[in-house]
Amino acid sequence: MSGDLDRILTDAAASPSGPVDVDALHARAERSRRRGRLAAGLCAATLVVVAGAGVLAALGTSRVELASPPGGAEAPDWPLRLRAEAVLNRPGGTEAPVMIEMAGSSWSEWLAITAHGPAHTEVSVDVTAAEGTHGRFVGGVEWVYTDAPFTLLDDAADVVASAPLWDMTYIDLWGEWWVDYRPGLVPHPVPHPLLRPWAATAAAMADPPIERSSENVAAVEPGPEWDERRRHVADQLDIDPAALAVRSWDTWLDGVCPSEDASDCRVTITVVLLESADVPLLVEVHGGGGFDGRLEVTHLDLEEEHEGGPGDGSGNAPSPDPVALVGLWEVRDAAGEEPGAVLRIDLGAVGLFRGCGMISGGWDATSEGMLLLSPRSWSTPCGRAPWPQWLDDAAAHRPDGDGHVLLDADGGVLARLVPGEEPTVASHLSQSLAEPPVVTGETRAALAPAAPLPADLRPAEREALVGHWTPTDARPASLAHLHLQADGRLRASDGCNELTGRWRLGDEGRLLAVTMGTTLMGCENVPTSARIAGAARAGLSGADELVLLDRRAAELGRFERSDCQPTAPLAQPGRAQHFETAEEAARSVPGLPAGGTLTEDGTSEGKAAFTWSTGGVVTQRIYVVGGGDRWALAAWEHCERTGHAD
Amino acid sequence: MTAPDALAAFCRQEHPRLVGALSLYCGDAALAEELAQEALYRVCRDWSRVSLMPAPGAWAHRVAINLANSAYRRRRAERRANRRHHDVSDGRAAGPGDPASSLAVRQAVAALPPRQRAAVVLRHLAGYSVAETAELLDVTEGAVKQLTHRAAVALRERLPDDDTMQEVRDVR
Repeated sequence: MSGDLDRILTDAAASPSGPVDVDALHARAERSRRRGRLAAGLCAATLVVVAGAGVLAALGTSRVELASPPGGAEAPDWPLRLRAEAVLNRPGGTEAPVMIEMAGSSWSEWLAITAHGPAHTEVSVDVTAAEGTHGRFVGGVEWVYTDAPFTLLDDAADVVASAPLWDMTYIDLWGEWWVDYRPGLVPHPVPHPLLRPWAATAAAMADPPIERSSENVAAVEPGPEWDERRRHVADQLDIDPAALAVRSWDTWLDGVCPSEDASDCRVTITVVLLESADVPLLVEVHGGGGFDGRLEVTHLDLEEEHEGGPGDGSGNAPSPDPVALVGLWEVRDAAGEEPGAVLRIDLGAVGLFRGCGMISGGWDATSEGMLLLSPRSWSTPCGRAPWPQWLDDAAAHRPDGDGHVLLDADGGVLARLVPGEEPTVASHLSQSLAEPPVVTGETRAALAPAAPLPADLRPAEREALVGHWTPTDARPASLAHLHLQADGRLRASDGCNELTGRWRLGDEGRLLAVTMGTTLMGCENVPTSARIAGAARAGLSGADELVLLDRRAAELGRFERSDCQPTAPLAQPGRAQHFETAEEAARSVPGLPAGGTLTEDGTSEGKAAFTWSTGGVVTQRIYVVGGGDRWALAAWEHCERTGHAD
Repeated sequence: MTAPDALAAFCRQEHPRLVGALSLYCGDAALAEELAQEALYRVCRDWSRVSLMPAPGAWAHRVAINLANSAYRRRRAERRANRRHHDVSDGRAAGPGDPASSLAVRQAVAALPPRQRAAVVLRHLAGYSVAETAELLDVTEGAVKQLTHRAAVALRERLPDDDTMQEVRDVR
């Protein structure tokens, strides 16, 4: 360790101006806990409308009508769940639709959030209430303080962002939340700790600061500074300033109950100005639950910057964003590439336009900068194998001004992509092939970050992944397999349809797999192709079981390492020959080493599998088909001793 | 209301460490005091849980860094709002009596990218090990080493070329 750096930093670090008043902090914490208990005693509350109906018409805002429980306002049927559709604003200004789920078990916990999200995630949320009406609020999520995983889901319920299970983070959320009350909601399986994120946030933002207490709910008189701010917000929103209720900060916990009758309880909405309106305006509204009122919201945009922290952050580089790769790009500085070549990157497909025609392939990328491309087809005039080496070697992407650079595995620049024009395609192609691609919600969902591996799985390492795997749910004697080669190629079979492609593994089991097409034979099969094509994470379970998961960390399939690591694709006999028994058919494999042992390795209707072992080592895996007294050799594969093929 | 002895002892021990670390992380001594108070308030609020953690000090540091990040984002928003009202405020200020060299170091550290800044502060001021820092920042140990190395290189370039900085070496 550099003792000098330690000393320099120690000398530069500030010292406290005075001792910490622990008793005062402790007392504040006690008051906070008491308020939580008070809030838990509230049985019902009514929302105070923030703005009048006339104002709403002027604003043209959406109304969010809270679903009322049967019988009118009464105590909620805990726990409650809120689902909010949101837009995740990413670095670089791109967006991804997300959905936030919240649940709570009591008044003090209804603000608890179940979501996975990276730190400093900012969201704007469209809330869908029971009747399908929509509202939007703007808020943010910075850190998660919960015992539950924090997940942001997109509108397909795919996880677009996630954070691992922590018990030492906390959530700092602001915004406006509604309760989507529906009787009979399935309670969230994970209990949520008490969270009061935006109350703390608002208190920190208060100017002048307002002490949170149960006495000041109705008595707060915003000072002149707040009158000015209220007028300012109202001017920007083109509404009557009187329509903005500026009260205390976290009145949902400091509800006023004039009488013992809980139906008299009121919770007031607070509006807090965080930014001026000529930059994206963030209106923070605190509210409490209510079941027989309406709540107005306005759509406001978030600030565009997402990176950085205290200080200049001048060392921050823009983060790779696979969605930003979608577009038309002029290729520059790529070795051996034709001048003026244009690369079109669209969802799942890449096309390189040269004078001869188009070379097409598949691709996938991650927000960590990993990239994988794989050829599929090409125009005949472009030659026999025109897929360029620079595309083959591309292992990473990085933003570079308005474009990107593609890098090899060692970080060397392979090509620069600058925004390009729609190319004029060769005469034998349709010009529509070169139209500028459009980023859709589907695109964003397909390129969204992958949820982390579940805690019970270990991230797969590349060396451990290389090899031959068979699905654990394959029927005995099935040909279904997944073969991951050390050179980055893959083969897969669902039992009768073959698939090839490429694969690449990153940190934490992040898997990219681009497939190149499959045969389309119909048969009862294991969807190996779909599993590898949809895989985003590869984890290992137990001793040697491979688990493929999709972006949501949903399990796609499990595979066990085959005792046969084939050295080549399945071989098949040149002609059909029939035998009375399956064993005889298996022994007909040409070139079986002498002195070996044939062992049955599973049978299912019409099929049987065998292994041929020599000296205790499996050297062939053999598949036969038939039944009764009529069997034929179907296929076989030679196996390597080590279990790592190619 | 008197705080339990263990809580009081913990807060008094951690308070100067938090203020010191935050002052470098934020580049603002006054803000550091404010955030340290808030971090310790959260310790008090959750003491029944925090006290059972294997490393409550690490938890407090993590909360402090999170608070600093949150504060920066809000202050950035406030500064924009204030500029609109012709009130330019600078979130970063030197504390009273700060020697110029300390200010220079704080500003240099504050100019680092957030993760480098957090890594170098946690490693070389708060004294956490590579493994502890990795856990605090939720990165790999290799990443911690890389972050602190880059931070040290950047500090060497940014700080005045005097005898003090000539002694800065690469970190382990």
